Amino acid sequence: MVTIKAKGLTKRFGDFVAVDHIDLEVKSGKIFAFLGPNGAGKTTTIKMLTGILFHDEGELEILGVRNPYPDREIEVKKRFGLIPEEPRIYPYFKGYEFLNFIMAVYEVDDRVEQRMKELLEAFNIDYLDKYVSDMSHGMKQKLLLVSVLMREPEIMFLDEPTVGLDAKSAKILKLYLQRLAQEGKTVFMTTHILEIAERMADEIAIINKGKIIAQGTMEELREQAGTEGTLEDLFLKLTGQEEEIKRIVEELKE
Amino acid sequence: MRELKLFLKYGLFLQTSSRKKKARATRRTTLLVQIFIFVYFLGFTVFIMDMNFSRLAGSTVGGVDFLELTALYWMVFAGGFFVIGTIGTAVYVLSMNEEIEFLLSLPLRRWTITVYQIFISFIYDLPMFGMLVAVAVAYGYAKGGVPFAIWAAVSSVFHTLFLLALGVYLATFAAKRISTSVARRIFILVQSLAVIGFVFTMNAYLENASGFEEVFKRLSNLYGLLRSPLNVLGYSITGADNPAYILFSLALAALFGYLFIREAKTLGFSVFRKSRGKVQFSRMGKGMAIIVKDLKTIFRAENSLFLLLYPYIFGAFMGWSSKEPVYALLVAIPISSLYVMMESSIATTPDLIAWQVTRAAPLKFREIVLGKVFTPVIINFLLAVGVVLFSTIFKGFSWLAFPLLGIALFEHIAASLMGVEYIFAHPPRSENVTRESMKASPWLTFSIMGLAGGAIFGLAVKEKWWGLLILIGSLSLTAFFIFKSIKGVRKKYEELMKGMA
Repeated sequence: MVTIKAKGLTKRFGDFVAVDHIDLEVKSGKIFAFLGPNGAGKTTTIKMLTGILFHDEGELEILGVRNPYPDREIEVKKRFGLIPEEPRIYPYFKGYEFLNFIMAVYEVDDRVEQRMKELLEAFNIDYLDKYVSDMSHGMKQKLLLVSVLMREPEIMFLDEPTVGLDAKSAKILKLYLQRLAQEGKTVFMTTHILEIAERMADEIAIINKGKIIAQGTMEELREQAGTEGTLEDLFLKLTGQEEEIKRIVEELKE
Repeated sequence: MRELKLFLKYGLFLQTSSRKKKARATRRTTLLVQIFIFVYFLGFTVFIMDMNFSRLAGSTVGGVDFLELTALYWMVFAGGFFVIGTIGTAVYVLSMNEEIEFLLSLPLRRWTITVYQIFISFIYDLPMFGMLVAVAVAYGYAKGGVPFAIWAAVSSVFHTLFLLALGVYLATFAAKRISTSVARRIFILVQSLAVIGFVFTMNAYLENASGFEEVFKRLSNLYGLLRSPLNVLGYSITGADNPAYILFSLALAALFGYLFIREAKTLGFSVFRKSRGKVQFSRMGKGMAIIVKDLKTIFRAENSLFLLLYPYIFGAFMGWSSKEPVYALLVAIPISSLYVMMESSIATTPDLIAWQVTRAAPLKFREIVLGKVFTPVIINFLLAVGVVLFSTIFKGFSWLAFPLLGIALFEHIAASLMGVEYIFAHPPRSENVTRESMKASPWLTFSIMGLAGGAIFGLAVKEKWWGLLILIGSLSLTAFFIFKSIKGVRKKYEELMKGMA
């Protein structure tokens, strides 16, 4: 089943076109890696897919609901979860108060609370009595991950989910996401760590300057780039950064 | 000194923002807002004091100068309020924040960072400074006209220097030894208790006397006590009559200034909050969760107790000290209207900081906004009812209480909406909720205080046709602002969705 479908999705900020007529199709049970250099349009795309930003042009379908924002956003939002790029949480909440708030807003059942406790243990979260404003980046990131993973939503949008995580937490997250995908959930994530995308993703899309320049499985991407090698090699070639890197390194040597 | 000059030159104070032009404008704005409140307090207090003081001028019985006695009584109140208020705000600015963390990484001396932070806190103490000067000016004017009023103002400025030095020394002393969070709460509690205690003690002392002779004897004792050199809180008044007290003020300012610098050299800037280690999972309805979130945000903001209690403690004192209960709310409503605007900004700011979490959650527009508008309004309405009850119990019932409460509610709704709209229009750039929510423009400040002040003033002089006109005009304009802000909040929210903000 296709859970995320976008056709000609476009976002402009004044004259600047941040996302330029992109097409996406992501199926349930898949891990979809959305890659691109800084400022390519990854976060803007996630914001449009999750209704944080309205798109200017194009068609969007999330979990079978056509153009859900804003009219049918509540029913869709209950079914997905988002880990934003920056783990910004209400500063005056203590950790456990934030989780209480999330449980109330999403009207979850007892199973979710039980799962939350298991996840807290798995991620070593023993700082729930602290104020969010006193937490480090990684601590907030783990808290946000628990707040989303505990619900096991049908789609998980994860914008750089491993940033700030310790090695153990990052490993747990990766394995957990793979398990959820096997159970039929959709994982849509961005990352700059290309090894993670290469190892985990069933399908990859690369966006550059607002346009999708390549999309498919690793094999399909290799075909499109006309080269073998790692995802990093493909990525640099497809985004046209390979030559530039060589030139810069040569200049630095001199 | 060179470092301090640098701080001020590059304007590293009040707000930090990634957008330099905006930051500069915001700094100017905060300063302007506080100066406006200072002038408002100054003008209003002179107006009220003058009504009391001019009646007492020249009434001296058996060596007791009733004008001086009353002025000293007020000055002790204002001076005490100023010192404790200074401690409260200074303690807050001396806790660790992003800006202090940055400054500590630079080769700057600790005491200059501390002085610079104190400078920020003093800007927020301008209203009480205004009241201090106002009492002295009203006293001077009643006693000897304009020249003496100017002299009294000079005396009060020197006196304030001493009180400021005392306050910041105590704040630094406390900040080094206990958690700033605890210190702040203690000082606000002390402030509230001091005001109530002062009023009750004074009145009980005089009211329990039997017969005129006893009353007069006690008044003489009180007069002697208030004029004593040991009454350091009264030097603005005693200094106006005897320049030696001005010298005392300067000497004490130097002494406490030195002690403050000594403490500031080794100040550690403690972390603001300490957790109690309790974790309690609970399940509640969606609506309740939103209300609890907004309530916690308002009460946990660093300056929340100040914003919530200050206008009403002041109002209660005004009501206590005057015949008409209208005076209790005359000051409280305009000031609290401004603070309601800040409180609704405080409630809104965290949602904008965590905008992606808020927007990704299944929450409707009205669920996000309504709590932020009505939580501060309801809290303040209950506090205003409290002041009216206080006034009714001790001064008797007045029908004016009903229209006053109605005006308070109306103005607070307008103020709250304006606060929410402002934050939607100016999303926070940092995660410092208190600072982000204090950025309201001077235009908004003037509008809300002007409207509330106009409505109250119109009600106070409603017998005159122009009084009624001011009342109706202010209320009509408030209704217009409510309508405009409702539309504005919706519009700004939609602009955020479109990525226009």
